[in-house]
Order: sequence, then C-alpha cells, then structure tokens
Amino acid sequence: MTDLERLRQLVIEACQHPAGSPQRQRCLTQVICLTSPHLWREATPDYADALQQTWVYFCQNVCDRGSGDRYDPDRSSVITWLNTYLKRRLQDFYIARQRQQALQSPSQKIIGETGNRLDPIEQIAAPPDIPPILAQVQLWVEQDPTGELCQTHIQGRPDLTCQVLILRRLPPETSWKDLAAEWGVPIPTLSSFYQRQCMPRLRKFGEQEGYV
Amino acid sequence: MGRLRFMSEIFPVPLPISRAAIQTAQQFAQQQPTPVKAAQVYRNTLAVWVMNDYLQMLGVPTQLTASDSWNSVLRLCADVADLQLLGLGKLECRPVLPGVHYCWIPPETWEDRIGYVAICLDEINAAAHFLGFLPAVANAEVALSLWRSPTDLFEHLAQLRPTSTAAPSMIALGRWFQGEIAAGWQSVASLLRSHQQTFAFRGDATLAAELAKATEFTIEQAKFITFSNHDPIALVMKLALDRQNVTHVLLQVYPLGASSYLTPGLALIVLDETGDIFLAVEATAANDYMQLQFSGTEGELFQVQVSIGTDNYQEFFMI
Repeated sequence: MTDLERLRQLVIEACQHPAGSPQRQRCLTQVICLTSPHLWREATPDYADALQQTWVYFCQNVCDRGSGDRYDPDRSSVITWLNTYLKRRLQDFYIARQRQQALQSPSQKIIGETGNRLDPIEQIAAPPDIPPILAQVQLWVEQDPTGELCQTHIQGRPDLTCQVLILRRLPPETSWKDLAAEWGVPIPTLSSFYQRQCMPRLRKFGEQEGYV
Repeated sequence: MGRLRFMSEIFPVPLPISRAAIQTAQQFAQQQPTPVKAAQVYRNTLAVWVMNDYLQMLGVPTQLTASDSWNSVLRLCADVADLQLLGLGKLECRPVLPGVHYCWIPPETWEDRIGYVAICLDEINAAAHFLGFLPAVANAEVALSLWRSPTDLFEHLAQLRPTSTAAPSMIALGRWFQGEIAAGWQSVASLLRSHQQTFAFRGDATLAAELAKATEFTIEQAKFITFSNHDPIALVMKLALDRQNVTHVLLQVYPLGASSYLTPGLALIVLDETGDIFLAVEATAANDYMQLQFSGTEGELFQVQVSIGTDNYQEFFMI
C-alpha cells in the first residue's frame, strides 16, 4: 500500500468516529505523522506558526465543515490540500511582515528579520532584570507568618519541616539525592512530602501575590 | 517509509514551536535566578505549550493557566512541566533534548499526575516531537525505548473520563459568590489565554473587547464547549448580586473556532424549572457573539442549552 492510499484510508477511518473520540484522535495523529515529511518546508521566521495553523485547520475541516470547506478526499490528497493551505498562510505572514516592516525604522527591521532563528537559550542568558520572586519567596518562607511551615514536618522527623525543605529546594537547589543522603530519608518520602505539603502552600502564596 | 514501521505506530508526532511559545518560554525563563534554572524553565514551558496546542486542536480541553507550570512561584520552586486537562488532572510534559536516550522525571512530579509524555525539543529549528507516553513512572530516568506509542495517550484519557452524563448535576451559583466555581468553568482570562492561538489566527480582538465592556458583573466564568459536528464555543456566565438579593445573570456565547462568527443556527436557550423555554436567541451569519440576560432569586432553577443540529450542550443551575 502506498502512503497516499494509506492516508486516504486513515482519513476515512478518522471521520467514522465522533470528534473528540480516542479513535479519531489516534487516526488524525497518524495522518499528521505520515503527512509531515511531505509538507512544504522553508526557513522563514513564521514557518512554525503557519504550520501550526495548518494542523489546526486540518483537524477542524478534515471531517466536518469547520472554519472552511470540508476536505474532499476525491478532489485532492491530504498532502496537496494541506500544502495549499500552508503556502497561503505563509503568504499571509509574508505580506503582514512586509506591511509591518514598512512602518518600522531601519534599525528595527534587523530584529524583525532574525525572527526565531536565533538560539533562544542565548537570548535568555542575560536577563535585563531578574524579578525579585526568589527573594520574596525566601522571605515568606523564613518569616512563616502563619507558623504552618515550621509546624508541618515529615512524620517522625520534626527537624524536616516544610520550611527546611523549601529553603533547600530554592534555586540553586540541593539535589533530591544529596538531601536523601544527608538526612537519611528515601527520595520518595521527601518528594512526596514536598508535593503534598509544600507545593500547595507555595501555590497559594503565588496566587495571593499575583505571581501567576 | 515502510508499511511495517507505520503499522507499529511508534512514530514521533511533529509539533511546531510557535513564536508565542518561544516568547512565553523566554519570559518565564527570565524570571529565574540562575542560568541552569532558566534553561530548565525555558524547556519545560515549551514542552507544555506545544502539547497544549496539540491537545487543543484534537479537541482535548485544557486549562493551561491552572497548571503548576504556569504558577510563577511553583515554577521557581519545582521542576514542573504539567498541563492541566479539563476535568481529568495533570499531564506531565517532560522535555528531552535531541540525542539524549532517556527522559528525566523529577521526583516532585511522581505524584498527582494522570500520565507523562516525553517531548523532544529541537529549539534551533522551532520543532518538537511528541515521542511517547506513560501512564505512570517508577524511576527518575526512563529510557526512551520504554515509552509507549504517543497515540496510546488518547485511550488512556478516554478511560479517565466519566462514561455517563446521564445524571446531570446541578450547579449552585450561590457558591460561585463564595469563590467555589464548578468544575469545567474557568476565568474568562484563563480561557482566552489558553485559546491564544485561535485568536491570533483570527486576528481580531472582538471577544476580548466585548468581555471587557461589562464591568458591573462581579463574577465572570467561562466554559469551553466542544461539539461533535461544529466549532467549539465559549459559554460565558456573568453574575451580579444586587442589594435586593436578586441575582442578575448574563449568558454569552462566543465562537472559538477559526471563524470569528458564530455558526448560523446555533441557539442559546434558557429553560425554567418546568422545562419550558424562558428565553432563546439564535445566531445569524453576522453574529460574532450572542447573549441573554435575566434575573432570579435564591433557589430558582434554570437550564441552559446551546444547540446546533444534533449537537446539544445542556447544564442545570440553581440561583
């Protein structure tokens, strides 16, 4: 069986199941995997966005009339259908970018053209200004205004409180392995206590402080 | 591409890394105190974002902003990459770098998870791959060869979902004023953010602008509703309690598909406790939203229906 025949069969099978059913989700995913190597590729900054929109369009229109006309397997292969849409999206992005650049000064244009082809990790290496979240969390844990961080501890280990554990896990954190060795407590005991007792309190603090 | 390999279904699923994903990941990473932590948060955020895009387009409703990975304090204090799935729980989306043969599962994610997915990130090429799925883990390091096929995730999620909706539960709106919001409902801002992609695609700000207008309502909650044969919609419920203890209800329906208009024929109906139609409105081709407003006193019952063709959503409420 050729890929094209297999694709056609998968589309038909997908549409025999209701939207949101695991069978349809599985078939559509298989179509995405099989179609992907045959899709148009180019090294432009908007390519990933255009491709994502193409997949959304595919999921919305392959079986039903969604945002556009329903896909007709008798008229074209899924690959042709999606390539047409993808190229149209890329064209739209290109026009939008041209328009945007016409409004910008020449110095700004350089930034616009580099897009996401830069190594993103390099771009985050030198943050302009580190927000004081760490300092605020640390202060809150140390002060423990309600007293519950000092009072809540691992069973049988009054020395291992929420306060102690959170302070050791704040970056630069001590690894779970090293903490387990230092305190003579297995990792799952520590991490379970952290998940059940420390994280809900941290979550609440984050929500209260509006750090979301 | 051989047929045999295809039939075995062990295929990495390609997932594009959008600009919005990169921008958000950079923003979250910049809040971190050390370069090591920044890199961890950057990758966790990308993994969660691409999985969110993927699940949403396949009709799995998510609550990105209700995830621990979207809480800045938890992001700082734990190595978390969870994605909250509406009504199901947290799916942990672990990033894997190209060329690495195992996936690291941090101890602080060993509990309270409905499953784990491994996402390979090729940051330079703005491409990710969904490599595999596991319903549970027992180790901090899991070799990639041990992960199950990505598509096994869907059967797993289907099993977790309640099978019957036969007994409709009544939602007590009075509790909403005490901050107890019913499951499936979320803040309007949260719903909008998790559908950012859709709105960016549409390129219009109608919904956000319209929602910002009505300020007199103290409660604003939204529900993501999917239909079998039609585009998903957002049902927004706004509540206000006046001095005479009368509750004012404003119901709105917005499109969440690629079109910025509602599907013509889509109907929003309010029925009273005897099942009689109390108010109804139907979308035409030119409606980008529709709404109904009414008032009631404590204890009064009503039913909301949103229907088109054979697709029908209904829910029961008590004021």
